[in-house]
Amino acid sequence: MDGTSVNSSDGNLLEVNDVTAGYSKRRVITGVSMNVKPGEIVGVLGHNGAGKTTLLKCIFRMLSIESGDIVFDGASITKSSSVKTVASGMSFTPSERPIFRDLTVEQNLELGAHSVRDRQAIKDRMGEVMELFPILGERRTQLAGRFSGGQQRQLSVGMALMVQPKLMMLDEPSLGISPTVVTKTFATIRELAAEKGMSVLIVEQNVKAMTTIADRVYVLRHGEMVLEESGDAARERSEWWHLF
Amino acid sequence: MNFELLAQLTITGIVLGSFYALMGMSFGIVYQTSKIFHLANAIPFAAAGFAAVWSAETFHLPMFGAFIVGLVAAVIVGLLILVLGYFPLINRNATLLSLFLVSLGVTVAFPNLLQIVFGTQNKTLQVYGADGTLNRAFETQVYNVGFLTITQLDIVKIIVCWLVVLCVVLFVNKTRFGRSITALRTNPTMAAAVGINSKVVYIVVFAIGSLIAGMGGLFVTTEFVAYPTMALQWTLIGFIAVFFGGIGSLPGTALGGLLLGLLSSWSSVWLGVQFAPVVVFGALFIILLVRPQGLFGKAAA
Amino acid sequence: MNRMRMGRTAVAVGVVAGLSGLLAACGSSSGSGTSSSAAAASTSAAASGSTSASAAAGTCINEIFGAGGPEAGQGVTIPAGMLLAVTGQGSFFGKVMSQGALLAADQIKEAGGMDYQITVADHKSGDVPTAITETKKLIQNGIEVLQTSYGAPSEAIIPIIQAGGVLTFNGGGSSPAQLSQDYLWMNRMVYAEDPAPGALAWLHKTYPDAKKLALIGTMENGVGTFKETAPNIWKKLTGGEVVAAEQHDVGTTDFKALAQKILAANPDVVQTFSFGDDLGYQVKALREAGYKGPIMMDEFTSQAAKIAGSAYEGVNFGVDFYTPANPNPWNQCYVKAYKAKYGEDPEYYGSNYYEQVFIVWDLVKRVIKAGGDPTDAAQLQAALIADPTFNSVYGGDATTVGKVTLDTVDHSISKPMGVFVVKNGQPELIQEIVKIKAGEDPNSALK
Repeated sequence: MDGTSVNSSDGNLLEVNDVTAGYSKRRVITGVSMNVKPGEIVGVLGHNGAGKTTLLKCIFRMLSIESGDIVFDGASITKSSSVKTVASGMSFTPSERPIFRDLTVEQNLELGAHSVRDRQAIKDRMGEVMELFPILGERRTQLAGRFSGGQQRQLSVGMALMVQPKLMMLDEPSLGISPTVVTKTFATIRELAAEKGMSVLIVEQNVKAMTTIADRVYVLRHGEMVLEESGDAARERSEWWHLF
Repeated sequence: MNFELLAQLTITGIVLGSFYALMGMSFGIVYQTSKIFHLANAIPFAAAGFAAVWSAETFHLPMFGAFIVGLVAAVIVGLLILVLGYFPLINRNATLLSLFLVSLGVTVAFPNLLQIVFGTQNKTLQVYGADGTLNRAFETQVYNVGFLTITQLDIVKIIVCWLVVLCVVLFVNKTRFGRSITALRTNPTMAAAVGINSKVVYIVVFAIGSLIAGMGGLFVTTEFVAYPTMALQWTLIGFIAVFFGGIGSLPGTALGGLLLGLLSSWSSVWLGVQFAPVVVFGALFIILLVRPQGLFGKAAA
Repeated sequence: MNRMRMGRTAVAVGVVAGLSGLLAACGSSSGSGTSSSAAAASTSAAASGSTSASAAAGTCINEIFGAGGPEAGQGVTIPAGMLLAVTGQGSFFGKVMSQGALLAADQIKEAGGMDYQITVADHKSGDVPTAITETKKLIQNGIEVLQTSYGAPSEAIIPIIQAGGVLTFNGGGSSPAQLSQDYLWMNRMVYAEDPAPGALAWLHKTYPDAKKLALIGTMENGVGTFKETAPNIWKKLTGGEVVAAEQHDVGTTDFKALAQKILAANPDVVQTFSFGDDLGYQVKALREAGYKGPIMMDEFTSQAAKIAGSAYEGVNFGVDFYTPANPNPWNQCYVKAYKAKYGEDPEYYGSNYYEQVFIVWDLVKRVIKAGGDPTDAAQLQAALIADPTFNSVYGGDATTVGKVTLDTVDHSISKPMGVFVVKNGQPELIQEIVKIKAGEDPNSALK
C-alpha cells in the first residue's frame, strides 16, 4: 500500500483484513485491507476491472473468499452469507439493474425490506422513503422498469433504506444518470448519512463526484489497494489518473 | 371438411393441450426461476407412477392413498436431485452447462434404476377390492354428448390441469413468497442483495415443479400403465410448451401448451397422425424465429 | 434489441442442441453400462440355474432329446451372441428373449449336451448403427451363432454375419427383406405378411356383411402388408375397400386423434399391424373414441394388455401365437423350468429364442455324428439344410412334441398359427390358420 494505514484500531464498523478472492481459478482481489468507521463515508476508486465490485460482493458475503477476514459490527462475518449480512444491518446496491423492473415501486420497496419481519416497521419506513423521494410516492403502483435512470437510482437507494442499514454499500451509483442527478443523489446520501449516523461505502469510477462527499478514499488497482487518504487530501489532488 | 371430426379433434386437442400446459408449468416454474435446464424433471414424473403402483399393492392403499404416496415420492426425489445434484455445483459457482450435464446424467440413469428394481414389465395401478382381489384401480367412463365423445378421465384431466395452472400463477403473482420467485427470476443479484435466500426459493420451486410432474405421472399411470421410460416424451413437451408459450410468462406457457395440443390434434385432419410431432416441432421452430421470446413472452429490455 | 434477439436465438439453438444431445446420450451412456450388466447377468443366471430347476428339467429334456454325453456335444463349447433390445423402449423384449435362450443353454448343458456360451449385446431397441458396431464386436470375439432381434437392425447386419460366417436366427422382427439370406434363418412367421390372409379370411367368414376395412400400421415393420397385401386380399375376399389407412411412429402412446380419424371413416372392421405396447394404447383409444366393431391385431403381449385394461376384451388377433397351456410334453417341461427360474410364464418371444438354442444343439449333434466339426457354422448350416425339421414347443399334443419346418429356400418357418380372442384378459384360440402362397385363395388359409 502506498499511504500507510490511517487507522487500524478498534471502533471500526467494518474491517477488511488481507482478503483474497475471485471467480473459479481467476483471482480478482489480492490481500486487500480497508475499514469503515461509524458515520463515515468511504469511497473506493478504481478502473473498470480493478476489483471494486468483487470487493463489495465479498464484504456483502455474496462471494466466497479464498483467504482473509472480514469483521462487521464487532463480529466476524467471514463465514456468513448475504442472507445474514442484510439482517445484521448491511445493504448492497448493485451498479446495474439495482431494482426489479417487472414489479411496482411499492413491491420493490417491500422486497427491499425482505429481511424485515415487522410489518408496521416496513410501513413506516416506506412512508419515510416516499417522503424523501416524493416521486416514488406519486408513482407507487407503477412498474419500476418504466422509470428513468435517475428515478431508478432513487428507488434503489430507497430500497436500501428499507433495512435501515448501519452500512450502506453502493456500487457505482453515478452509472447511467446525468451529472446534475449525480450531484443531487450524492447530496442526498451525504444528508442521510449525517442524519441517521449511517456509514456509506461507495465504489466509483467517477472521481469528481466521489471526492465531493467522501471522508476518506481508497484506490484499488489490479486487485490491490494502492492508496488510502483523507477526503480533504483527495479533493486537493488535481491529477488522479496516474494512480489508476 | 368433416365438421364432426374437427369438433371431436378440438376436444382431443384441448385434453392433450391441457396436459401439455401442466407439463409446461412443471418445467416452466423451475426453469424460469433457476435457469437450470432441469431435464431430470422426468424423474419425479416416473417416481410418482411407480410409487403409487407399489404402495397400492404393498400397503393395500385405496387409489387416492396411492396418489398421495406418489406425489410425496415425486417431491422427495425432486428435492433430492436439487440438494444432492445441483446445490453442490451451485455452491462452487458451476456453469449452467455443468448443471445440465448432471441433469442429463441422472435422467439417463433413473429409468435403468427403475428397470433393475421393478423389472421391465409395465405396471398397472391396481387396488385391492372388498373381496381381497387386486383389480385395475380405474376404468374410465365414456360419455357421448351428441356426436362428441369424451372420457371421464379426460374431463378430470382438463379440470385438474387448469386448476394447477391457476394455483401456480396466483401463487407466483399474488403471494409474498411468489414475489421472491419473481425477484430471483428477473434479477438474481438484487434478489441476493435484499436478502432473499435463493436456496429456499429453489427448494419451494423444485417442490412445486416435482409435485406437478408427479401429477402428470399419475395421470399416465392411471390411464395406462407405469413404465421406466414413461416420462421422457412428456418432459420434452414441457420444454416445448415453455419455449413456445414464452419463457418469462407462466400463463403464456400454459396457453402455449394448449395451443400446441390443439395444433397437434388439428393437424391430423390434413396430415397423417405420424406428422403430429413434426407439426409441434415445426411450430416451435417458427415461433423461435419470428418471436424468440415465445408467443406470449415479454420482450426483454 | 438486436442483441436480445441474438440471445434468445442462442437459447433456442441451445435447446435444440440439448435435446438432440439428450437423445444421443440416452442411447450411448445407458447402453454400454447395461450391456455389460446383461453379460454379467448371463453368468449368474447360469450359476443359479444349476441349483434350482435343473434336476427336474434335465430329466425331461433327456426324455425328449435323448441321452447326454460326448455324442450329444458334451465338452463342445459353442460361443454365441444375442443382439437384443437390452435398453430402451423394447427392453421387455430383450429381457424375455435372453431369458429363453439362457434357460435353453442351462438345460442343454445339464442334460449332458453342448456348452452354449451367450454374450448379450444391446441394439438399444432398434438403433441400426449400434447394432452394426455391437455385431462386429461379437464377431471379433469369435461367436459362431447369433440370435438377433428386431427388423431394421437384423436387416442391417446381414452382410456382416455373412462375411463373418455366423449362423444367425431371428425370432423377433422378421421381415421380407430378411428372406433368402445365406446364414440367416427366421423362426417366427414373417411379421404381418404370413398371418394376414388367415386373419382377414376369418373376419370375412365371421362378419360376412363387413365391406369397409380400416388399416393401422407402423412406418417400420409390416409396411408391405399394410400397403399392398392386406388391401388386395380384402378386395378379393369381400369386394369391399379400405376406407382408412393410418400409419404412426413406433412407440406412440397417444392414439386419440388416430382413433377419431378411423372412426370418422365409419369402418366395419379394423385390422392393425402395429406391435408391442402401441397396440394397448391403440385399442384403448379406439374403444374410448366409441368404436364398437371388431378389431383384429397381429400380436398379443401381456404388456399391451395391461395398458388397454378392459378395452382388450373381445379383441381378436391372428398370429403364430405361443401359449404356455399347450400340453405338448416339451412345452410343459419348458414352462415348468421357466417358471422355476424366472417366476413367470414364458411368452411368445422368449419361446422363439429358447427353441433356437435347441435347433443349434440338434445341429451340433448331427455334425458330430457325421464326423464334422461342430464349431464350424458352415457345417451347422449344411446340416440344417439337409433336414430342416425340428422339435417345437408350438403345436403337438399331450403325447407328441410339436414340429416346425424351416424353408430351405427362403429361410422362413411354418408354424401352427391361429386366430385368438381375448377373454378375461387371456387369449383363447378360436380358429387355426395356415400360411398360404401368393395368389392362393385367402379362404384356404382357414384350416
